[in-house]
Amino acid sequence: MLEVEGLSIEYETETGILPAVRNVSLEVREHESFGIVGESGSGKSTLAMGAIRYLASNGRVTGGSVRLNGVELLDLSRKELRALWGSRIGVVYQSPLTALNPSILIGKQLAEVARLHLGMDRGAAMTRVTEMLAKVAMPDPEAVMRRYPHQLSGGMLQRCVIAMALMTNPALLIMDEPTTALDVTTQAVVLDLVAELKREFDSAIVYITHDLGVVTKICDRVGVMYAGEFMEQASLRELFQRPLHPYTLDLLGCVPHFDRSPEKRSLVTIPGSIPHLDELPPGCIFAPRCSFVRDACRAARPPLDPVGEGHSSACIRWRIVPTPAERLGAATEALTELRSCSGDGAPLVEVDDVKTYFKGPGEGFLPGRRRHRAIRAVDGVSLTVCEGQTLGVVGESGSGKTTVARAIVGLTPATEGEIRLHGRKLEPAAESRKRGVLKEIQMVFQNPDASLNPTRTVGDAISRPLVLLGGMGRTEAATRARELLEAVSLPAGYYDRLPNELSGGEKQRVAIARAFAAEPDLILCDEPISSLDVSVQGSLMNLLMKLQVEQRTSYVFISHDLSAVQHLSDTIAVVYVGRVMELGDAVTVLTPPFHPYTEALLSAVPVADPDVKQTPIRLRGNVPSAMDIPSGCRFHTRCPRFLGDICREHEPPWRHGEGSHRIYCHIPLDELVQLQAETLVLASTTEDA
Amino acid sequence: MSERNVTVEGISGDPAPQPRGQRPSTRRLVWRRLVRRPAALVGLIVFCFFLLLAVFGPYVAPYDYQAQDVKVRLQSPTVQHPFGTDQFGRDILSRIVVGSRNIFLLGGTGTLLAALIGTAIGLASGYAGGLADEVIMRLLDVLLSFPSLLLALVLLSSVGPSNLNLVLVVTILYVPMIARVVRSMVLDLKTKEFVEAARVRGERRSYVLFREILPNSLPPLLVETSMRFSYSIFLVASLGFLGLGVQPPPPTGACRSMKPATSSPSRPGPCSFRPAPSPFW
Amino acid sequence: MLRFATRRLGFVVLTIVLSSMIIFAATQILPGDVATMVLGRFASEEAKTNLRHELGLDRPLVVQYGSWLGNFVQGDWGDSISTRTEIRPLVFERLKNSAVLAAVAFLFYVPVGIVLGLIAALRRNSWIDQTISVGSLAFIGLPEFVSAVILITIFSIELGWLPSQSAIDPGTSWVTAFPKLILPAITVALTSLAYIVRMTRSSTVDVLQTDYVRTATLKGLPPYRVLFTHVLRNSLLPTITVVAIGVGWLMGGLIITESVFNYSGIGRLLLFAVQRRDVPLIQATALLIVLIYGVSNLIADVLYAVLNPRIRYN
Ligand code: SF4
Ligand code: SF4
Repeated sequence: MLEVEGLSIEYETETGILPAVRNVSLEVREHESFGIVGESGSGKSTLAMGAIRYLASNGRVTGGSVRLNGVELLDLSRKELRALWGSRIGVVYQSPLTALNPSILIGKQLAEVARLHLGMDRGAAMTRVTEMLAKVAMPDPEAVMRRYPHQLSGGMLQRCVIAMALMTNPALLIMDEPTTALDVTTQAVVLDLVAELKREFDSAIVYITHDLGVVTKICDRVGVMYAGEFMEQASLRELFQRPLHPYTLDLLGCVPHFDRSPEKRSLVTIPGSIPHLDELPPGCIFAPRCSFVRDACRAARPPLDPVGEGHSSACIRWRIVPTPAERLGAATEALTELRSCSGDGAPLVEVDDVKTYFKGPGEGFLPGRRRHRAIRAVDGVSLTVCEGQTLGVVGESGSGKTTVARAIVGLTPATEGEIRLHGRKLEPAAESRKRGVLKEIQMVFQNPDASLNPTRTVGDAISRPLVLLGGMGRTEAATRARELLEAVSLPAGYYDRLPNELSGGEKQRVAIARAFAAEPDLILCDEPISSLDVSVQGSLMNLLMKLQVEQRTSYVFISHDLSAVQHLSDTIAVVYVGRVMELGDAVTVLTPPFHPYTEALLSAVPVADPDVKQTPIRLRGNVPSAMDIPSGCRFHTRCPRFLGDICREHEPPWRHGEGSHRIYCHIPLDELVQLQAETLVLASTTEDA
Repeated sequence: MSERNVTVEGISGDPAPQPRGQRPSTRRLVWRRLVRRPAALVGLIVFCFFLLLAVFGPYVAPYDYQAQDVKVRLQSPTVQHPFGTDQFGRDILSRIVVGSRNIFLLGGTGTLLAALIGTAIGLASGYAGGLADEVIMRLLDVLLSFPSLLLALVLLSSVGPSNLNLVLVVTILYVPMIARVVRSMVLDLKTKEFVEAARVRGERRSYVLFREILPNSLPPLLVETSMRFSYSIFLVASLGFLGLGVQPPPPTGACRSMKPATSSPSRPGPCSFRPAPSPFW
Repeated sequence: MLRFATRRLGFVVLTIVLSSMIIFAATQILPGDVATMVLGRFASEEAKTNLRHELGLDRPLVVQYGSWLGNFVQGDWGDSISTRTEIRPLVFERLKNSAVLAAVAFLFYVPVGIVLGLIAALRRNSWIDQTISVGSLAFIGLPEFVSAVILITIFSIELGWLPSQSAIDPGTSWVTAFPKLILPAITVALTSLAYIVRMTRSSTVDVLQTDYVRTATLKGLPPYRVLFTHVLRNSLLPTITVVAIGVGWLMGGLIITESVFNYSGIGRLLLFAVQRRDVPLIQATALLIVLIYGVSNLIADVLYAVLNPRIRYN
């Protein structure tokens, strides 16, 4: 078992010493998994890697002790440490593709561990690798061993890395965001696997993640880190039901919960941002952002003290911390009612059987005679966006959801089909659209760092569409730009800043302001929040909702994150390999009958609530490539409810349900309802309370 | 800063958090970038060196650059004449030192021209993409498939080493290199979201190219240009060494005396190319 | 893989054909009349016309180009105007000399460059690294005639260890001639050496920071095994490309170095041809150099692909 006591880690930088982790303690037993949750900059990885003494050369442990089964790791020599690494300590990393050497066969890389630490010869090591790969449920281990990493999918690679880490049955397994780079359905498979291996191997697991949903799937105990210290440690259920630290409480409120109530509520926001390590506040480090702060909090740093059985909190006022339900009631407000397209709201944009094909890589030698297979990124999608409403498009990577948005805005022109705005047909390419049309459709992009031109000031970025599309003069545009900054809750002083002086969330706010500047009817949001921290995500979702209510703008909100989509959308479209599988009002899509793919997504989404029961429906294999779309129903290669030849050979019909609800499947809706009665049981604490 | 401090025996680790607060001053940033991009540093050093030489050259030259000494004609390097002497026994080092002002000017003009043309080609080719881009880049690749000095020799041998021709040769040699750098920046930048945002609001192509893309390609372009500048100086100097270089300013009437009476009638002009007979044959 | 190699080959052939056009065009607009050069100023107009006809200079340029390239490919490279001898044996004799010099340089700079680059990368930011980096910076692009002068001053004039002139009598064995090769070889190698050092250093530094090196370290592998099993096979890949490009510099470097040291190689032959405006000789040598450069790039590309599974299996 692992005992960390009072561990402190510092980095020496050009501008001074940064205390990245300060006086941190934790304990993990055999067979137990301890989740370290924190936003970026919380020091969670530094803590884990520092504990096993793997630090950048400017980092050093300045105090404390780390004992693994009684052995003090901080006293070991390099050589002794190397004997532990890979044998008693296993590590699984965030990105499985980069974690494996691109030019060595998988089998050889895994066998290296067996040969080094188990003293096996080549043959025995290879046998051991085959066994381990079978244990992580790898289909056809022998073939996998003869592959290079780039030939496998992310999920498969992560299984290889896990097999490698568990090869020697280590006493400690560190998993650093192991599923963050994977798709939801693959993530669910890997999480299941880890949960199972946890029973089989007696390693103590330290699981690092930013995702409160993932924690509930495999952790027994959880510690919440903030700016280099633990704010709270508790058992999983207790932490979610009765958090006793304001930061935990607010963090839980930032995550959208699955609910089927027609009311749209805002999320809890945490004002300000995580403090920098060289300017930590003297008292409680959360004090500048805490809504329960008192003068006493600023006097001295509150220690992580026990507040109950196996529960500790670094808040001196833990007794007054309310329950999550109370907090939600007090800190959030109802914004609007869900609307449905069939009822109110005229169609603003209609996407009619749109296809976007690209030329694939050529085959054959000669330029003229080369055959190109088409990449069918979008393969016949029809959607309607209604005035003042939000259409959520959800799908995994490779579903073509982004290409749909780019076709609407004209960045990747549709090769077939029609897109209409206010009933008038749009030119496929943005370049050939008229200013008046361009003005109506704007876009917010995924990557905040690339959204703004690094050489132009924030003010320039926002004024430009005002001048170009709004026909304003310079001074007028400048005044309006300042107003827009205020509307997205940024100080007007940001007007003269350059993008590199802004944080990711702030950049995204500027991008939103820029999109709103032209006063468009429709804004396409392409994963606008997915690269940001949980608390920033929450406040951006609030902002989007608030602006929608004020401006009556329509959104197309594209995301792989089903909980964000359901939180914001009036209508939801579920897409898979270039086609819509299910479409309908948010509430109907989230209640049975589901399309089998929607069902699988719902059962795979990590919900930040340990009491939600999800039927484990897991998808086999990978998302097919858009060059090789399966025949018949394109989901048939992975469908858990596969019917047989009919699915393989015939395109399924659209089955119409309540209102605008449609499902693209051979199974009739009433049968689906019966099959799926229990997919997602919502027993959320809010309802119990 | 993107580089982590890692050594195999020192054991690497996660990226250290970056401090905020005092951001390093612009001057320090520029300096650090220069140090990290050694090519730029070399460019700067060479620039300064030749600038000094250009200004003070005549004072430090060991000999008068036009003093002829028939006793030491066509010498290989010796202690007295580190770079040897030419066919009239003039000290080559002195001629280079004095000629450096010209080398500086010629290399600089050539590089500048190359930077302008190369940037234009790179921008157009990269932004247009498709077949046009492919063809342009293939053609430039052809120029790159010559070792620089070879191409310079072949070209100069045909047109003669006048100052203008030297400038043009430098330009021809460096256009492909600069165009490539700019093009790769354009290819990278044109898929960036801020460029797409400009397209979505209907900006003209010229605005996208010159206001969105070009300013962001400047840093690598400047580095490449400064690097090319230093190479151009070496190139012109090398050509000078081979007898195809800068023609030092001739004293009045000296031209005629430099030219043997047997000069070819097909090449008029008092000071045209006169290859130094090499000690080769 | 085969497809990749074939495509690369296609590009190289195309490039070389286009280069031959450039060479031909550049030399053909060469001012000065070949007939006058050969026969002298006072030759009769008739004799000149005859010679031009004999040399095929009165045909259209396209035809001249076609027959020139055709003859070149068939191995008929024509006669040199200035020496009045057949070009091919002359060029090959010189090429052989240059190849020996280049080989000596190559054997010196490739291993030394890689080792220095590795040392700098492994001891990053130490004084060794600083010295190597600054040293290699100083040599990048230093014109050969300058480094040659410095080397001669030190090793021939001051220390007297090595000869400053490298003219080698025909018939001397390479073993006896070896000392004469050392200085020119070092001179010609310096630029390429500097580039290899820099490339090896930066790619190794990059690889040392990858996740898979972290994985290897946390497997508990000793440092030397991390280096040899996991780092080198990835970090030396880009070096291959630099070695190939280095052949180009080598060629350029030979032109100057050979004339400084009086070494009878192809570079000096080219210079001689340029100075005498010996068009057929210029064309033949220039095209040959381009050919060698193109082939070395092709080899590097293919080698890079063969050694890199990410390209091999795509
Ligand atoms: S100690 Fe005070 S400031 Fe800190 S979390 Fe508790 S209530 Fe908030
Ligand atoms: S049509 Fe068949 S394969 Fe497709 S989703 Fe329905 S049951 Fe599954």
